[in-house]
Amino acid sequence: MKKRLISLLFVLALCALIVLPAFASSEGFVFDLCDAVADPDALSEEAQAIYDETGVALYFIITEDLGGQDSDDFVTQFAQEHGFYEDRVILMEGPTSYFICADGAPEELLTQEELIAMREAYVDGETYTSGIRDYYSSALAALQTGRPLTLPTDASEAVTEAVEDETEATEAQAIVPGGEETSKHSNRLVDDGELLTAVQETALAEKLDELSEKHDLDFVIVTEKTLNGKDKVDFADDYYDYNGYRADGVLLLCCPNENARHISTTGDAIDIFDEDAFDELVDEILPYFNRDDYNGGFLSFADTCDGIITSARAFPWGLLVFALLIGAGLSWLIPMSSMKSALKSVRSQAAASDYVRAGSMNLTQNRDVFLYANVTRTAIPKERSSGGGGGSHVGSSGTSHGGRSF
Amino acid sequence: MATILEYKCPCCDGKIEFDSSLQQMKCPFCDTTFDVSTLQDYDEILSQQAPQEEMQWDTDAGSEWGQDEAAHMGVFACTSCGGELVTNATTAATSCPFCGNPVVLAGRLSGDLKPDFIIPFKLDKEAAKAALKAHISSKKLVPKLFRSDNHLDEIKGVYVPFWLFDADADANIEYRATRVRAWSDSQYNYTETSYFALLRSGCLSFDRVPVDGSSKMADDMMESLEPFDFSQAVPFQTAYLSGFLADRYDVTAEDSVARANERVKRSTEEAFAQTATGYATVTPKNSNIMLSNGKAKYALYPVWLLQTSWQGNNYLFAMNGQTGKMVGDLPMDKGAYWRWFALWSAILGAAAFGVLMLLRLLDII
Repeated sequence: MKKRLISLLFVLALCALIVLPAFASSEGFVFDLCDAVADPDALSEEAQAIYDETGVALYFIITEDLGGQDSDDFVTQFAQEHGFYEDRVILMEGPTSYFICADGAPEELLTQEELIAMREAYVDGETYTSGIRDYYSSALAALQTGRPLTLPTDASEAVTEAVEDETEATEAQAIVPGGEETSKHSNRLVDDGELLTAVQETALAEKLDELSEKHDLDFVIVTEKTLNGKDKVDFADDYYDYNGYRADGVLLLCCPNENARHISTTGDAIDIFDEDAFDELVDEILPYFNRDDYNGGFLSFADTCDGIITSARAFPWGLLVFALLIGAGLSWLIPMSSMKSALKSVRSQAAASDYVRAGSMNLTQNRDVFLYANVTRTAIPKERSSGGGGGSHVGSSGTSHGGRSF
Repeated sequence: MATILEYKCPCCDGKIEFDSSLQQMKCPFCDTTFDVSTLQDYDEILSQQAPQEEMQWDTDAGSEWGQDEAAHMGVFACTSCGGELVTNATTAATSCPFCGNPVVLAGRLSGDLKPDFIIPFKLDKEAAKAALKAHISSKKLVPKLFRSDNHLDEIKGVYVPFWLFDADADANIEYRATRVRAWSDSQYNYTETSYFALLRSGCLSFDRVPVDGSSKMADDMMESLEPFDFSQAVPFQTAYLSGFLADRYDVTAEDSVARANERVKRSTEEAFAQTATGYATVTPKNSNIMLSNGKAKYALYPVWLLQTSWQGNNYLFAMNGQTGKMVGDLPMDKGAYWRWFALWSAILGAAAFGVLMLLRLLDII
C-alpha cells in the first residue's frame, strides 16, 4: 500500500514535470517586476526562439525587492513558483546586485567565465533591452562553441551554481549610472533602510531619474539601517563621491535608527542650495519625517529640490530690471546731469573768496561750547541659526560639499 | 529789585526750565537737556555779540571828465533798449551790442564820471570767435544744427563798467556744529550726535569786489566772467577805448553795494567756518558782520560780446577779454538727451547687473 502511494506520487510528479513547461512558456522568459524593460514580450519571443533551437531557457528577472531573501534563495523560489524549465540560465538584476546562475544541462556546458561574460554583456548594455539582447547573444555564442549539446536526462540532480557579484563595501553597492541620457540604473534611490514599499520605490526612483535628467544634476536618496559608526555628514558626502554620481548633485541621507538626516550637495548644487534654499527645503520635508511619512518626505524632497533648482537657474529678470533702474538712476544722477549742466555756464557768484586780501584774517575769538548730545540706538539684527552644516567643506575624496543636517 | 532771567533753548529757541528731577535745564518743547553752566556760558557769549549788522561804504568813486577828454568822446544811445555807449570820437557804433538794434543815436558826453581804472583788452576778435567755437563743440547735447548753422550776428568788444568795493569785515559769527560718534555692543548700534555752539570773532579784508554797474549787462553773466586780474589794471586813459565800445554805468555805487555785501558776508562766514575743524556739519546760525573802511572805485573791464540767433531766439555769449573765459547758455537737443540717457542707462545698467550677479554668486545678497 505504501509502495503504491509512493508510485502514485511519483507519477503525479512526472505529470507535473510534463505540464509545468506548458505554464512556463505561457509566462515568458522576461520577468520585469519594476516596469523597467520597454518591450518584455518581444524579448520573451527571442528567448523562446533560442529555447527552441538549443533547448536552453534564458530567463531574465529584474526586481527592486528581494523580499528579504538573498539573491540565490529568491531566484530558486521564483523559478519554482513560475515553473521555469530545468535547463536554464537565470540572470537577475536586484536592487543592489546582479546575479546569474545555470541549472540543468547548461550547468555542465557553461564555464563560470562564460556565465560572468553573459552577465557583463548585460551590464554593459546601453538600455535594458539592448542589455538583455547582449546577454542572449553572449549565451548563444557560449552554447554554440562547437560542443555537442548533450542534454542530461537526469534533471533532478541539478545543482545551482551562483555567481554573485555583490561588492564588499557596504557604502559602494551602487553601480556607476554613467552620464548617458538613458541611464538604465535606477540606483539614485538606495533603500537599504527599507523605509519604502516596492511600489513607492518604483515611483520615487522614476521621479529621481526624471528630475536628474531634467536638471543634469543627480537627485539621490539613501536610507540606511545603520551608518556603522560613521558621521552622517561624512557618510553622505562619501556615498555621493564613491558611487560615481555626476559632478553636480544633491543627496538626502536618512537613517531613522540613528536619528540621522543629512542633505549633502556637490558641485553646482553647493551654490544653488544656499541657506535660504536649505531653510525652504527643510521646512517642506521635516513635517513628513516628524510623522514617519518617509515616502511623502522623499517625494516632497524631490519636488522642492526641483523647484529650487529651476528658480535658481532661471534667468533673473527681476534682477535685470532692478539693475536697469539703477543704471537709469545713476545715468540721470551723474553723466546726464553733468552733460546738461555743461550747457549752462552763466551763474551768479555766491561768495567773494577771490577778493580776500591774503593774510588779512585775524581771529579774535575762537570758542567751541558743547551744548548737548543725543544718543540713538538701533538693535543689531540677529544672525540666523542654521540647523548645522551650511557653508561648504571638503570630503575625504577631495570634493567640496555643502549640506544641512536637520 | 527782583529780576527774572529766562534762558532760551539753543536748540529750538523755546523757553527753557529747570528740571528738579534731572538737576538740569530741560526744554519742555524739544526735551533737550543742558547743564546750567553751559547755558550761562552760552548766554554770556551771546551778550557779547551785541553790535548790529552795519555796512557803510565810501562810494566816492570816479572823477569828473576833463573838458578836453569830453570833447574827444562820443555817446551812442540805443533807441530800442536805451543802452548807452561811450566811445572816443574815432569809433562808430553801427548797432546796439545788447539788443542788436541797428539804430543808435550819437550824442555828447556830459557830466558823467570818469573811470578810475581800466583793464585793457588782451584778446582780439579772432580769439573770441575761436573760444566760442570751442565752447559749443565741447558740449555733446548742443543740437547739431546749432553747431553748423550757427553764425555770429554781431561781435563787439565792450568795456563794461564795474564798481570795485574794498572793505574790512568785522565778524561775530555763531555756528551750530555737530559731531557724530558711533559704537556698538553685542545688542545695539549706538549713534551719538553732539551739538556745539561755535563762536568766532575776527576781521577779514576784501579788495576790489566787483559789481556790474550796467543794467544792460546781466549781473549773473558778468559774475560768471570773473575773475579779472586787477594787477593788470591801469589808470584810465581815453586812448584805450579806441576800436572798442564803452558802456556807461547806469547803476550807481550806492545801488550796487547790496550785492557786494551779500558776497562779502557769505565769504566771511565761509572763511571763519574753515577754522572749525573736526565737526561733521558746521552751519552758520547767527552772523553779525560789520564792514568798515568801505571804499568804492569805478573801473572798466574788457568783455567780448557775441550774439547769435538760432530758430528765432537770440543767444548771447560773453568772453572775458583778459583771461579768455567764455560763458553763455546753450540750447539742448532733447533727442540727443534721450539717446545719451539710453546709452548711459544701458552701460550703467549692464554694469550694475554684473555687480549684482557677482554679489549673488558670492552669496553677499
